Amino acid sequence: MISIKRIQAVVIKDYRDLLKNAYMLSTAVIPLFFAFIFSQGEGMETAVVFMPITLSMVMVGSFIQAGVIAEEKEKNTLRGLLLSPLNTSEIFIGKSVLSAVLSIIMVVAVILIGNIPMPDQTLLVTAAILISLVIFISIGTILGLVSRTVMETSVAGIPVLFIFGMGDVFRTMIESEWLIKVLSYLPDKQLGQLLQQLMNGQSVGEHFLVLALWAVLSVIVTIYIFKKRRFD
Amino acid sequence: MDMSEIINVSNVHKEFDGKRALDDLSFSIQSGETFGFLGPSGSGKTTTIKLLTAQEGYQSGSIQVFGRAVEDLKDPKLMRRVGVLTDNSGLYERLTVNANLQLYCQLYSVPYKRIEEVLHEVGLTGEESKVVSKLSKGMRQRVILARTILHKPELLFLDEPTSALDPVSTERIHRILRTLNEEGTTIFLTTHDMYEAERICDRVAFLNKGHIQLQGPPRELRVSHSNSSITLLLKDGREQLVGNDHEGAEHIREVIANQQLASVHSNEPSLGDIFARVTGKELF
Ligand SMILES: Nc1ncnc2c1ncn2[C@@H]1O[C@H](COP(=O)(O)OP(=O)(O)OP(=O)(O)O)[C@@H](O)[C@H]1O
Ligand SMILES: [Mg+2]
Repeated sequence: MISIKRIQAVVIKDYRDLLKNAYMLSTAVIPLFFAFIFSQGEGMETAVVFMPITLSMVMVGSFIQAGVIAEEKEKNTLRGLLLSPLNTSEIFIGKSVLSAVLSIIMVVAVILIGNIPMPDQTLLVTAAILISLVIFISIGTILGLVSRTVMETSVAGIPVLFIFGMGDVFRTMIESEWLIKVLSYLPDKQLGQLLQQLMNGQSVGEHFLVLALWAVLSVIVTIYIFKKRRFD
Repeated sequence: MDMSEIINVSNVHKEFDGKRALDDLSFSIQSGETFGFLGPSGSGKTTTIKLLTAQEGYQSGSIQVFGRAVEDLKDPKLMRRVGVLTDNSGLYERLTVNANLQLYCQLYSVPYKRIEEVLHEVGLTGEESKVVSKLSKGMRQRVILARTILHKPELLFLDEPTSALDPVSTERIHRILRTLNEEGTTIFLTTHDMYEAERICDRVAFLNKGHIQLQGPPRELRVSHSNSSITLLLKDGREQLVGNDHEGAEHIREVIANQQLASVHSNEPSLGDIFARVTGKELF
């Protein structure tokens, strides 16, 4: 059984804490700069046009999420939550709501500031972004669980940022066919292709399927790591 | 089982990756007792608390809390009756004392007005709007204690609640714990401070290498391990050791008659002395 009241308590605490946290707040606004720079560019390559969206999901969904999780461990406050009436699902949900909401705000802001062309099928776009958000927040949670400190998350997060957040930039430099093929299954690319094909009026079922698989897999891995780790 | 028995541990073995941490551990705690676990670093005090609060499993033996298998504590309904202060409990540093406690009020469904009450209990009235990062170590520990007793647990686990605190803060916490105990809270605490054990515990157990070497009320332990000698301090500064017998009495009478006596000291051993004698080890 899940208690909304207990989840809300965690979210309110995280919200109050975020307002006082300069490191997290500055991380959250970085994607806005990218979006602004993007909006100044002329004739953007179609391959990278959606990059600011994935970038903000990585910066907020993954980085901030990793930070708030790692900080609970670093400051020895997670044990208190675990010993309270909160159950595992409530902790997971409670600790994800804030970065999810913040990610959604940033994605919308980035689309507006960056003048990013979006397909008209709002419902499908929203669904695709929400599924991707589950993936990026799970990745952030995993990152937070395997790091001991907030500092460590920003180091361990760099590969995540490059691979998932700015993958489009790197993919343009890669020549090997098979590697491009493999990398094209990464969630950011799948989301980009999905959006692109929606605009072209092509079918997107396959991309939805791959994203959903990523989402399920990443949630399972997150829960597995959470159950396995000792917290002090 | 005795109705008033709140914790029962029998023949518990605990290993970490093949390394023994608790070895045939057995003890029980009655409702309303303050029970102290004394032992040097690495003797298994924290491990015992983790087992008693279902944070860790164990290989063999049995543990009952509130007359139920300890695993049942994973049920929030039962866990609500317990308060745990771990050896490294932390607070949200950027938030105020109030915000920290409000979170736990919400989690335990305790009304916010309890905050004022609990802050009064730990002597922090009027500090609720201070940011935690601005608090002294002793104040911080009292906020953590306030958070631990917020939901009025019947059974309190405290892992070295005063370690690294100054004497004034330590004294404050002792007073709080005594009050809680008088109000009926059962307390299990670990410490390597024998003075602490002596002051606030009804019963203590000496833990060494994961095994209880000796247990009992501090006073009884001291009496049963006293070596019945008496030290006389003479006015000229000399010390004399005399036996607690007829001969000793004669000697003391003589010293007093000659007006040489400055003071008399019984040589009742401290808990630390007894610990050293029983385990061949200093407490820290
Ligand atoms: N998670 C763990 N993994 C492996 N070994 C552990 C773990 N926790 C404790 N131990 C070992 O178990 C033994 C008892 O440790 P414990 O922390 O219970 O001691 P303690 O009495 O609390 O010591 P201290 O006074 O330093 O807090 C030690 O040898 C320790 O190394
Ligand atoms: Mg310990």
